[in-house]
Amino acid sequence: MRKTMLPLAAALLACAALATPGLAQPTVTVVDYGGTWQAAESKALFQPIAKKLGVTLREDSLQTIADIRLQVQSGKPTWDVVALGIGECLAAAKEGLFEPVDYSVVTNAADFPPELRGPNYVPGTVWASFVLTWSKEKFKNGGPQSWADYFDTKKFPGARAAYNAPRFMLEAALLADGVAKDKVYPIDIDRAFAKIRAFRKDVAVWYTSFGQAVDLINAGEVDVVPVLDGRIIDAIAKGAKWDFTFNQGIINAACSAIVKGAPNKATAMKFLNEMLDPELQANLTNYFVYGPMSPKVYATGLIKPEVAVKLNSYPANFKMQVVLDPHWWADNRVPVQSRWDAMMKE
Amino acid sequence: MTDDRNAAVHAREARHERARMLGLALPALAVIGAAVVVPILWVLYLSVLDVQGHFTLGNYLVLATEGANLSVIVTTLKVSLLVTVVSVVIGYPLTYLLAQLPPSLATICMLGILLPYMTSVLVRTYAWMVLLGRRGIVNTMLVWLGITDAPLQLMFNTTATVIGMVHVMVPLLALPLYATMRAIDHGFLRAAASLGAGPVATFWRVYFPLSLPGLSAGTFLIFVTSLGFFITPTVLGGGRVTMIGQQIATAIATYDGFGVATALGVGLLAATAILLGFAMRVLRLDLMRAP
Repeated sequence: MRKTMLPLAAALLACAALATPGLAQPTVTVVDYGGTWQAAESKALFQPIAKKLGVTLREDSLQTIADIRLQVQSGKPTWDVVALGIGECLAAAKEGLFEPVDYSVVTNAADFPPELRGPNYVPGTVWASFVLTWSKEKFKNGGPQSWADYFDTKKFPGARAAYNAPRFMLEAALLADGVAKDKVYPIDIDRAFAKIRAFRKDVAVWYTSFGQAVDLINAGEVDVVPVLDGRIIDAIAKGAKWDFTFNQGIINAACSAIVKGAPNKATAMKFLNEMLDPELQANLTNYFVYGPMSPKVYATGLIKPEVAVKLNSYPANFKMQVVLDPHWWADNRVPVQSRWDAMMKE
Repeated sequence: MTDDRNAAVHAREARHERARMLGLALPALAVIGAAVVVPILWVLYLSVLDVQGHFTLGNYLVLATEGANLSVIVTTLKVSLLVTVVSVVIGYPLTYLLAQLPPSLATICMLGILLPYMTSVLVRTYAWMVLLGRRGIVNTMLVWLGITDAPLQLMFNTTATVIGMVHVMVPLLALPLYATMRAIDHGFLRAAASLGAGPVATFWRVYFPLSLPGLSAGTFLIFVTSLGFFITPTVLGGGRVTMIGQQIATAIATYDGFGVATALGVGLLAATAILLGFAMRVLRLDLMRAP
């Protein structure tokens, strides 16, 4: 319903804007994954940027790149800027769903390492890290601290939840099997699958979405769960007696891009540049505990020191983690998923 | 002579009647066309396109060879069949009981069935987590009564999935079955009894056959609705039950374009059509239409 009403509402608004030329100002539609995360991002980033650029901000949310595909295939997309995980950006860029980035406008992108940007996408606003979490009630004298501990149900007995997807899980399996952090890629697929296959009997529940993982934590169904850091930090803030570690976390970049055929391309390009501004990204940490991506963000001095040390991109924390390689996944996603599905049905 | 004239009048009447019926059915046909036929054709069309939009059968090759897709279709049919059978076993006696109650009492009991039916599937599914979970009511009782020492793993398997789905599905059987049972003329039952049939024979040879139209309608509704379940197997199956809806979601996230996902949908449609066609032939469901 929302999906069908939005274009209609947008069209009506557009008509209203055309009918009153004196009030017309450029608009831009920004789209992220929604929920409390986007609400925070909107307050910290989108609304200040819209004010700074003097544009009218509209927002929508997406679930997968299929939503962008439908926008493009409709021939009349209503979205301008989309924010995704970097793996999704690579896939969408390959499918031709994005406009080329004008790097003469998006100058802030130069702050970032080159592997995080491409001709059709730029880095996003925050990192998200797949971290090991545990119940403090179950493990009163310290919980599991590494992926090896996660896979070891003798040393740390307790109900395990696992992510029902190969991405993140294969990396965790290799790290648990003793592979060095800098030797994870290219992933030794056979070795990772062998580790997970042996682990399957110890898994109480395989979750499909990170929201589901948080539900399992809150319901007390499991004792040890790997989940994205923002989710567990939020759950702990809301009263869950859990803890987590950044040790061996698998940290994944976000990305932003402009939808192919976007109605407000020029404004969107400026918006994209502002999203990479270190000071604006620093403001994010006042609203949500995800680590900003801009390498200059900690030098701004705008992040409170007690907040900074909790963020996944804080240098001391970042060093403990492995950066997920989206290019390896772009090349191997299909056969690995196929093999994963087959294993789960054994 | 008069016979011929009568025949001609009858034929004209019949033609007019057909035209009127067609006219009345047109809005419904238009809705079905727009909401069912067109989307199915669209899905069929997408399933034979590659990412560049050229014709291909590659998506069906993926369906046949990759990622345990066929086993997902088998699981989907199996779980749906199981849910249908259990729903009938639970739902038929329940509806029979309701049909015997005085109408005012039956209406109140029917509300008891309808109210949960109007609750969201998500809520009803999570309610089973409260009941079957590690700290759930069932496990707490079992441990308290000393039947088990530690909580049992009641969730995250096929059984829990079927329980959760049956809970959602029973009203779909109860509604059409109740309407059919209420319409059964009790004179038939008295006639059977007066001719010497005992209660068991009266039920199986008179009542049950008369209730079949409602039963078959409910059965089909449950089976077909079960095929598309997503939330319940995801939450209560805990990764051990993969139905087609979940596999389509994975396919959308994994493959470029909609090709493989739509091919999965078409594969399920074909499997369902074959199975239902076969069931119709074998069970002669066409004979079970309302009298």
